[in-house]
Amino acid sequence: MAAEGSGAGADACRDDAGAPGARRGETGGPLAISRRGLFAAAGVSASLLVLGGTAALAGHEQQVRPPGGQDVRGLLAGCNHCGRCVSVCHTRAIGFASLTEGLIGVRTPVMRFSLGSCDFCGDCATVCPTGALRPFDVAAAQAGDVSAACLGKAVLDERICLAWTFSSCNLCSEKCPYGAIELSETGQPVVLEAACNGCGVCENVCPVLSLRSYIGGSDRAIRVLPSTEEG
Amino acid sequence: MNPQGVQREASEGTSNRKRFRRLRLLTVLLVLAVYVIGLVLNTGLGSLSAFGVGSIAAMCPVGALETMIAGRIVLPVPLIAIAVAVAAAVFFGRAFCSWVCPVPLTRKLVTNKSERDAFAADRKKSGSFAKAFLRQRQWPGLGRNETTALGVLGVTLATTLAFGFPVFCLVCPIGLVFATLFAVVRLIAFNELVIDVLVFPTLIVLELVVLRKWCATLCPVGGLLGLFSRLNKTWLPAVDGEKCLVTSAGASCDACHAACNSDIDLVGNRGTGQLHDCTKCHACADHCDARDFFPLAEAERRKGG
Repeated sequence: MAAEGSGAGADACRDDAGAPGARRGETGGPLAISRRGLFAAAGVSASLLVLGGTAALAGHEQQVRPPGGQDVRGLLAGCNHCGRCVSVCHTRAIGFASLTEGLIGVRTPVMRFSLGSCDFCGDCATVCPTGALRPFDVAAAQAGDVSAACLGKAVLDERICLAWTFSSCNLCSEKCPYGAIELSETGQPVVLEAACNGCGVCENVCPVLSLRSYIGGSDRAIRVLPSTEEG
Repeated sequence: MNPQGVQREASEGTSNRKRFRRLRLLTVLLVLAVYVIGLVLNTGLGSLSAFGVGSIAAMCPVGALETMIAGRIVLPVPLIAIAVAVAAAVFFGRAFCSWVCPVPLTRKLVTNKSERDAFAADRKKSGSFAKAFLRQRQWPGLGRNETTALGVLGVTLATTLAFGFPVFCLVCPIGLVFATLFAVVRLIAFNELVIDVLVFPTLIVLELVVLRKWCATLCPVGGLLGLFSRLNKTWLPAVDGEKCLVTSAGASCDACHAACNSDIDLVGNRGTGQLHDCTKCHACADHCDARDFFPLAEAERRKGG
């Protein structure tokens, strides 16, 4: 990386190391930076340029963000990875995006519905110091107003959903706090997209990973997927 | 080596010498512990990048600048954070570097080369001082180590402006230390196994081993603090000319300079660091052969007569 530099060569003003008093050629004023220091600084600068360019140009997968963070560009611009939102989330639903989820978004907040669901308490947006998570109308969001906050939409994978394959489960419909999952005549859950605000309770309770652990993978039968429009 | 006849009890001297080092270790560990506990207990405390209670938060000033520049917006919390950081630099100089920042401790853990060893190696290699590459083109008032640090700060802000996100924060060693801690906490608490828990510490090690003089010559946070620590007049190390072996007895002693992680030469002013780069670590006083230093606080009393 930064070249430590080949030896700087004999200094014409060499004098005894440690000898006090005036050095020849020195007026006592400050030295300019050394060649080695310049190389190190240049190396760091070049690395920052490459890093910034790579991260900005490389695509990143859309992630489900905490409420108030649906403007992804604003979130990526404003997030300094302080971790306050992750720390304050009392349902532990917020986590840090991993490097594998995109370089530019590493350590930014993402929802981890396997750990908890969102109750739109608004604490994350309150503690965010830079407005990467913007405040939203908490009361309206908790009442189910999708325009106040919407993290994404629940999407059912009928191939692995227990209800759709064995008619033996309706947990998501039962637990949905906003009545956004109804049961068809034959008892299979269907997501009502207009009512879904992406709170993640369905994903959190879905038992597919434990009851179908033989199929491998980490995706449950119902998952919240990010919407592409700004919230 | 004590021509003045200044004698110290060996045991008293040793324990006194290490006192400040131990104190610094304690404060740094305390800071880290508080943040980790804050995460575990869901308090919303944060990290050194930004921490606080509720909607009140302090922030790293470089991060504050970056986020405002990236978002092209002026925000209240970052703005106040910068003002607080500037005030801290004026009152405490760069004391953050020695007493709060986890990087010096991390460097000690990952490499046996300290920053002052790197400066000493430079001195040996090129005679007394490194050849000045831009000697004629130095900017007035800026010189030595802070020139490169401010250059890195400039590039940090410029890349943030160009690419629209805080670029430096991705690789900042301070941020990476917290990222590693948080990743480990989440691994233990949630079995969250991600490659990050290996990548972050690897990156830290790479940075601190390759860029050995990070703190004094490259860190943009230190560079920003250094801009305002020029105004700091408290807790400055001062040499008592009557006791110093160099000034009073003409001896060739370099102990305080050799001990300084910021390469400040208080006696001969031949180091690449300047007085306002001082991080108040007390190592110079601890290593003085003639113990001629006033403890940093006493310098104030002396000036006051």
